[in-house]
Amino acid sequence: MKKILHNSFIFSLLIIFCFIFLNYLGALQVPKNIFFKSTSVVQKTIYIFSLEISDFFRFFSSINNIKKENANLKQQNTKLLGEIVKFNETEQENEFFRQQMGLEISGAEQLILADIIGQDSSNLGRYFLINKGIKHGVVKKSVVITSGNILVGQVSEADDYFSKVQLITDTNCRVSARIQESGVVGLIIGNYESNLIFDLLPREQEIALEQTVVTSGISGLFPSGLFIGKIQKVISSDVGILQKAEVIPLVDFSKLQKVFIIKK
Amino acid sequence: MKVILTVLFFLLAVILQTTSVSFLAIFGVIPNLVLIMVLVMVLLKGFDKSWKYIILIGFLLDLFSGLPFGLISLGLVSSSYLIDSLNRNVFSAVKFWIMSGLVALGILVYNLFLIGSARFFNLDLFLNLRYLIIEIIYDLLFAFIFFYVAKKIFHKK
Repeated sequence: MKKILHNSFIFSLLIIFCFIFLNYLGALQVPKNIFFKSTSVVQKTIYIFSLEISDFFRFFSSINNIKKENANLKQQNTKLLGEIVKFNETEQENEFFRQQMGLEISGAEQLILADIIGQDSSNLGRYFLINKGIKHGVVKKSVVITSGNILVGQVSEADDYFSKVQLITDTNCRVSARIQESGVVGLIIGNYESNLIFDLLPREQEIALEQTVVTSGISGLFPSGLFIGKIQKVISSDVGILQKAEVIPLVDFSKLQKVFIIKK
Repeated sequence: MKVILTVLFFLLAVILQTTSVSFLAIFGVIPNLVLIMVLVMVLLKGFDKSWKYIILIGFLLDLFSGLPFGLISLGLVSSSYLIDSLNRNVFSAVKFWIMSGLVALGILVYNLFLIGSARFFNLDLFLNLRYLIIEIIYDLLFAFIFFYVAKKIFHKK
């Protein structure tokens, strides 16, 4: 026994397994909270500072495209303004019909604003650490979005003051989704690459590029109608009854600073 | 005093790894500077003298990771113990090409360990060779820098 304990490798494994056991029992909750609370200010400052430096270099590397992008955005803006007017009218009509039919008007969901203070250190997982936890109303499986109702991910672990968010780009993330224009339903799967995989699409359905993908709400985990991305490539083969598509997310996860958690 | 400074240094390294390093991504791959630091430390100081720090670093990285708690610590300890054993039993001196080979092996073992052990938790982590090769090359660049800086600090010939 003494010999085993003198072997630093076995001894270190024993310590780690003790930690795993303590974590399983929930005994590490207090030290975790103390650590995150005492380092969160430093983490947030470094994260924002890094984001700004990264933006600064990106600005210089993309200076040639800015003029072109600006013209495109102006054109897109005009188009969107027209669509907003149309949507407002539809919303008013909807409200009117709801009142006529005696249906309840759906209220706005309660959102919790959180700062991103850290990311997963490995290339294998795609997780964010946010500075809101159980004490602020965050629970496991809460849905995380960003401005514009764009889906970011789901809370995978909630501590008292901090939570881990599994991004939709994580390989273990599955989101039931549909194409907004055609209503075709499939499954969004995270990918190591920057694009998402839209799987389980019926082969007889025609999938067009640039179509918008939103959450379908079928699984009950994610509310319906949250934006995910746009179809960039259709991958179909002659064999099989299903086809796949590549979806480019609407949000650039590397630029995110703040997110909203939908309160359950 | 030296121990406190070393602990604070590693704490800062972990915080930097989880906040700033993701912005150094190339082709979507981020360098694992903390892993490199651990592997270089093991090559220069040996596993017996550095295991306490490795456990501390692993514990801190586990706090930030979305993987099941403890996997990163186990991955760090296993990969560093393996390269230390090879270094002590197979090679006589830490030379440039030996260091490169051992660090590359350490990164490979660490990633394979995480992918393999994640299966026990029904997690779908799969081996992406392109990513792994980019990560090894990218990490090696940092390993060379760390290795020479550490050698200067420890005055090791």
